[in-house]
Amino acid sequence: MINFKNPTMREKNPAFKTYLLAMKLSVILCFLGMMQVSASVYSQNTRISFRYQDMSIKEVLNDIEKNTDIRFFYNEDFIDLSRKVTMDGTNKNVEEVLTDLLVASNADYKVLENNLIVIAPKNLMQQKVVTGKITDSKTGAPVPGVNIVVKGTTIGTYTDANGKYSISLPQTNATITFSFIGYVIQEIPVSAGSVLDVKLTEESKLLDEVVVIGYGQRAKKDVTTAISTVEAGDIVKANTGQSAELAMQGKMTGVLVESGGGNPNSRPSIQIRGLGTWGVSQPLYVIDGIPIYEFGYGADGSTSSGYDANYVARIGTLRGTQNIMSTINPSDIESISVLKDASAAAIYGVRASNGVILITTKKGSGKAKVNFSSKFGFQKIPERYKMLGVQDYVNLETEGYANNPLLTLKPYLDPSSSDYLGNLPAQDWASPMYTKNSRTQDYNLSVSGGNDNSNYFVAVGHYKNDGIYINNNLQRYTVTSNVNSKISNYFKVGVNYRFVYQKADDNTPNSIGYTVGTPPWQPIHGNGPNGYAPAIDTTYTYTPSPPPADAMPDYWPWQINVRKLYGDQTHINVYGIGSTQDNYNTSYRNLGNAFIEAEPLKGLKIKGSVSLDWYMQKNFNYAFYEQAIFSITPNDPLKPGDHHSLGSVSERDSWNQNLVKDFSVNYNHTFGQHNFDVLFNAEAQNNNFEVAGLSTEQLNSRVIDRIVIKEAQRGFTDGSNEIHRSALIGYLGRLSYNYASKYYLDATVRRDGSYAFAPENRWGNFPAFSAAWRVSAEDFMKNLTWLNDMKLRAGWGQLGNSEVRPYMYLSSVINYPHYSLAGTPANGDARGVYTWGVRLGDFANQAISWEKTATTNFAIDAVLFRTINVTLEYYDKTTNGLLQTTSLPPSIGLYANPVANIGKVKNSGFEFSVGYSGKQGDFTYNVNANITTVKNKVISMFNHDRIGGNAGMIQEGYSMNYLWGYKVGGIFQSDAEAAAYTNQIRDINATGNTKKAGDMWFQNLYGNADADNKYYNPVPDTTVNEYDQTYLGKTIPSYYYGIAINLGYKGFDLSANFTGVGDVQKYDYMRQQLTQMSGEINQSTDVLNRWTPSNPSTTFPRAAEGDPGGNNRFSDRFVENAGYFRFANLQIGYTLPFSREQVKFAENIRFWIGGSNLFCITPWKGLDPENEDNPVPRSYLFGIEATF
Amino acid sequence: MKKIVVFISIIMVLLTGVIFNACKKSNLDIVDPDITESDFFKTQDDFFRAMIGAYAKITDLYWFNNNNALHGSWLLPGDDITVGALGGHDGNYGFDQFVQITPGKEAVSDIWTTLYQIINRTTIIIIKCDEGSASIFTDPAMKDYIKGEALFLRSWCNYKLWNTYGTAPLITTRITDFSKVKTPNSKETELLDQAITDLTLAATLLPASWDAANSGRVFAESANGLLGKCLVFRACWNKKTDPAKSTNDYNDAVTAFNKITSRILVPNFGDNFDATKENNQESLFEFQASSQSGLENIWLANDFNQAIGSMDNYLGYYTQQWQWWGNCPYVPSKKLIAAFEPGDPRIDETFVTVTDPNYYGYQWAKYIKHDIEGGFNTSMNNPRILRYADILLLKAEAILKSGGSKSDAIGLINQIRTRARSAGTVPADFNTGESNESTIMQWIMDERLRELCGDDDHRWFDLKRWHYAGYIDLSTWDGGDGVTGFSTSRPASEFKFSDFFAATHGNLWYPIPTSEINSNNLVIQNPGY
Repeated sequence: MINFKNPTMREKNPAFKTYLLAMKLSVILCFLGMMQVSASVYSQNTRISFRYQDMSIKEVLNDIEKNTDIRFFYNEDFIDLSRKVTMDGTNKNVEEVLTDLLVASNADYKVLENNLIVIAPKNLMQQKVVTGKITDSKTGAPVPGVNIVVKGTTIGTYTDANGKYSISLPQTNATITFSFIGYVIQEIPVSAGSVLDVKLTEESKLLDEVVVIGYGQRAKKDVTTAISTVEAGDIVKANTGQSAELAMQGKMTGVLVESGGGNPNSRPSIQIRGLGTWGVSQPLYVIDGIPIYEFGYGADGSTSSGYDANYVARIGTLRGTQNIMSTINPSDIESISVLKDASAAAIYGVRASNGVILITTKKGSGKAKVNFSSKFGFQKIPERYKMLGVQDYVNLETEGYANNPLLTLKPYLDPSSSDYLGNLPAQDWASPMYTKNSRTQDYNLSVSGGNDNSNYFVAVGHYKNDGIYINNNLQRYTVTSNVNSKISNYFKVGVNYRFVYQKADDNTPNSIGYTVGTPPWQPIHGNGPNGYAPAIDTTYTYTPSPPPADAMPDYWPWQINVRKLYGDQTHINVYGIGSTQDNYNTSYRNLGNAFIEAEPLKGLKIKGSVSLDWYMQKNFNYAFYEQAIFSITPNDPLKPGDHHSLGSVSERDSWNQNLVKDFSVNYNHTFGQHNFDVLFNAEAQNNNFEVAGLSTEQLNSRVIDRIVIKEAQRGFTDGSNEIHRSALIGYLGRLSYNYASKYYLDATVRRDGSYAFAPENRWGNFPAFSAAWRVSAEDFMKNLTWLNDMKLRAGWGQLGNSEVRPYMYLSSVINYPHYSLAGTPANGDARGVYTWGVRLGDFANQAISWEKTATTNFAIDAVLFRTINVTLEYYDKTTNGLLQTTSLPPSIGLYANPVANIGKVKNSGFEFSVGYSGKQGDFTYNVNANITTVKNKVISMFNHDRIGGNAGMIQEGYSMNYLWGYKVGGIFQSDAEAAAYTNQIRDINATGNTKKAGDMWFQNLYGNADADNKYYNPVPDTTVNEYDQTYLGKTIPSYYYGIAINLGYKGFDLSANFTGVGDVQKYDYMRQQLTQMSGEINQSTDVLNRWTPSNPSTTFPRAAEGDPGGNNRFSDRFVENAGYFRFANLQIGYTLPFSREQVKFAENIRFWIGGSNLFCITPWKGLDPENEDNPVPRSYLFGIEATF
Repeated sequence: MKKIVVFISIIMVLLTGVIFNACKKSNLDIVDPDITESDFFKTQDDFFRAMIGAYAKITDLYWFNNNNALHGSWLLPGDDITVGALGGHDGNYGFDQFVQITPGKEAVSDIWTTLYQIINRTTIIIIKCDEGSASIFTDPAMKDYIKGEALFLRSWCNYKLWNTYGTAPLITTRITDFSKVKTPNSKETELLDQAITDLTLAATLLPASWDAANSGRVFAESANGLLGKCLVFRACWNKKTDPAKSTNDYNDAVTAFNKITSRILVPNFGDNFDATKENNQESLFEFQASSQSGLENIWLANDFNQAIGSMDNYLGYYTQQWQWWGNCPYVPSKKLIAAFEPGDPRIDETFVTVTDPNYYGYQWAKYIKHDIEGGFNTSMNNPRILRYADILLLKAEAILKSGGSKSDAIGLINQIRTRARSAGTVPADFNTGESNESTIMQWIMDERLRELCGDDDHRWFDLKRWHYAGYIDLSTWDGGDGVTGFSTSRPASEFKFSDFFAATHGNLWYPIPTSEINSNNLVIQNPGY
């Protein structure tokens, strides 16, 4: 018997006792581990007969030792052997005896070699350990940090730095799960004491994800350029049914998506890596390989787009507000790739300088699948303006008139006058402007499938958005289908067709800004048509005096007497107007593409395709003449048509046809470690845009379905048409090479011709190069186990932009001035004879050519610890030869300024994104964050000119479109203080240079410009005039960011997105309008804080009609920080926990609830920093998705 | 296998053919839907249309201009028209009080831009006429006629530029080179000098008259009339500094005026403001206000692309209109009312009596009384820019100030008074024996006020030139001239002309607009702004 018990030593030295104990235990355990498997069978064969009466266990053991060859090994410090037992037995084996003996104790036994039996505490005895090493199946490198769990228990561990592990099993046999992000999970049954080495196989997801790069696709690890993507899953979770841009918001570095607000028809604006031009800054959209081109592309709504204002207005009218993305059903989209740098986008050289957005739609594969998804939601805007009531309004106006000695209080504001209107009840003008219970609905159904030879995808969708404002909504039906088929070993054909029908009501009677400015006493409802209140009192009287012999009918002397009923600022009764007219757009868009591809040799693909995008848009509107009394600028309703007409009708049909012919040869070949991919492409694009319009002032029916323009009304009918054409031709060559997936080199050259330039300047060459080094593929990096992938890449390239007013190289003769001759006393004809004249538009600039944008990139992409994805990128995007309208002196007498290559703008910054994903048991998580910085600077300008105005100035050395105006100095608290100032300084914006207490003063920063000082003299003079205007803020955000969180637990999933922009200023036009305290329009309740002798405000000036102090000039008073942090989206879903085996009819069913714009943190004082006129709505949604 | 290869080859050839056909370079030669200059100026009609385009630009001075009509900028500074008590409705009312006349003011830049656009259009025509072969004109004389019209119109713009801005750049060429877009200020009377040169030539090129179908186009006497007027203006400018030159210009003016032989004072004064009596025998130059049949869109400029723009004159300021809460922003001044002898028949054609105290008893009638509306308070009544009565009074002044016969001068004034009184007795003739030059000059000035008040831009331009010449002194002017309050709406103490005069260092010009200053650093802003 071996008994370690040594009382002497133990008692003498407790520390030694502990040490000894530890040593002993380790010895025991060591024995256990080493000897277990080879334990002899002696103990089972040795049988004993016995009878123990009230003996201690220790005595029993001693007895057994005495009677057999068995030796026991125990330590009384751990087990209590003093317990008395009584037991007997005949011919029992020793193990049976020991089991009975120890059953009630805390000890257990184990039989070792040499008849040695160890008795130790149960918890020690039960250890059944498995050890081993885990390696990567491909590289053989050890994998640290692998999560090892005994299935069905909470027992788990991780591999150490060398990939080694050791785990104890609760029982002899168990199953162990080995899991690690990026690897396929393995489950292996083990038995106790075994050694188990495991090879983990990479899951392809992270590194082999495929990215659409334009004219092809590529594994993510092989991408050498700057491309951001979002996938179908993200799009679905972005809660948008309208337009997929919003799914990109905050998810991509380098891509700033500014929402179009609550108007379902408006197009969000997208800026890729800053703003390179003050012209067309929208990126190029390529849908399934078809570059989309629309008439007036990018010119809509923007007066700074290189087009003259009239042309822009005209384009806006003609093309409507059709948003490219809203014609694509987001649920049909497989992925969106944004090509951000020139080396990526050079393949679309033409028009690619603002970046390229590649949209790839879904294709079918595998077993036939039916997908259904639907969502339903409510939306509203979170905040509204608070306006003055009647008494506050009267007080404000009375005070304002009293403060301007040049003006007299209007009678309707004067309680002592019989015309006083202040006794009328207050009206809430704003509320009826909002759609009640505004809903969004989206239903989609698709069928898809395929096999090795062919695949198909067919989908229908319906989307409806009631809009935030009344009569401003969108309905859309989409049909999508594509079929791809291999017709022999050598040929593949495919057809892709998309049809969209949209009906949009765009008839909000007026802006909310105008509407809330209505004097609060003006009634909405009254005794006018449709129950609305007239805005004017008017009589139309026909005076039948004999007309001149040859006079036109409208030449007769009609009388129109109009009196505004509610003061000078009587507003249009917008609701009355809205009830008597309609204006809607219907559009039909067809996007079709067919291709044939031959593969005569392996790796050689020859493809030809023809794509046609055509849409028709019909704008229809009518207005009944009875609405005259709601207007304040009424047309005489008796005058038009045959003088008994009910109203006017007009229709405008526009037709856009975009034909793209495309031919490409692609060859890829691998020999040894060398991989080549060569592409040649030729593309021709033609666009036709035609508009035909028809209108009549003769309407004979009030029944809407009977409103047509009749041919017989030719005397009152007006028609016109116009055609715009454009054409582009491009050739592309691309060579991609990589060696062993380690060294990459891509070179692209594109040559493009545009109709927009003179023949000798028509062609532009756009080269691009990029290179990458996948460092992690090097042998010397293999040992860095925490670094799973690392790539360094760099690129340079050039892109073009030709989007300007067409034919600028020609001097056009414009046929629009008109004048009338031949009025003489003899004929008494005041009208004369209408005669067409001509003018030359501006001077031709034969030299104009492509605007070129060069980009340079440096980036690191890395995957760390299998769980962290990092990309850090520096970019520099410099646009040279900006093709823009010059700002020439008006003295040269041009109608419009000519276009020239006039400037250079640089955008540079960093993009950083980091993603972390992981899994703990059933809990999965994925967090991504990204931030982009933009430094925008105008490098040079034609003639060093400064162009623009207060709302957007463009000047060398500044951020483009900066805010320019006066800087507030302060508010005078007394007339004496004001007089002291005006004795020193003359303010030309103050009437008669008179300032009073409560007026603002503005900083006198500079002196007047002179021959030596182009814009101002740095030495201040004594006059505050336009030369004292200065930089007030930048309109291009310095940074923007996004955070996306995706969590999953069993069937539950949660995704949340946050977006934000920072360091950006905007001029708050609405606040300017609603706190100007001049002009009699109703004001917001903010004006209650205005300066008065009893409220000596230092920030809010006094009320003064006519603004004699010039307080409302464009100044930093209304410039605000427009940064924001928005909780853009939340979606919480639950997928029913069944599999196809369990439920035959369905594969997957998921329910979700969600919300958009749940909060927005911003210092902006208005309703919404993104869109003040039509704020981003807050919406709550729920939906269902099912696959059958 | 062989078959397949052949098949593939055929397909490839077809595809390649289709693509290369599509990619032909000539596919980029898309024709501009508008005619281009190289295809134009090939026929007489082309020249005619270009000239119509130049005339049409005048509309931009007179149209509604989205409620920012420019009339106030030349009507209000004078002492004939002022704003009513509730006149603050109008964005231009500062011109009445000489406040807020800033380089950024819309009217200041709109006038500038319009005048230079006319200069550009006419200059192109002049160049094209010089370049063009006479053979393309079906009527060989037409080449001269059109060039003469262009020269006339350009001169009128230079004359207006000089009067409005003083130092505006003088531009006589078509600028098509980015390196030559900046022109410095003109000096002294350079603008008038150019107008005098151009008009002298125009008078030799223009026809004596047009047929009825072309009425409204300028003719030789129009050029002589404007020539004489420009000479009188230059004479006034030089009167104090170079009296000899001044006298010379006065003499030349008389010579030019003497070439006007076909014009008469029409018997009825009111015919000059009657929409049905346009282009009558008294008329030398009118803006041909019109209105397109039922389609006039008064919110769009005449030039508006591909849509119907304005062709009319806006007169909404003179009447009680909805825009002004039923008020009338511009009314005759008390001084003007007082300037007429009771019984002068011109009174009825000039203003009407009203009871509303806000208008001091009077409202404007000239042009309104015999108007034909084009809709929205616009008018088809032509503004008479230059008429014979104006010529006669200028001639009287020229004769008087160049040392000519005083009785001749008085005789010319009496012609005006004779026509004015028609068959009546008031106003009676002035005494032709009067020898005091100042008295006679005062008669001329007063007669000009009565005859030409509120009729385009006469009064303010006259006041300024008489100040240059020293006939009156604006530096101490309270605008009242003996009548209490220059501006009838408020006491003289509030009238800011002296402030304005002091602040602009006696400069009576408007500022050069910001749009020019910002893009042309060779131009120096006028003093005082």
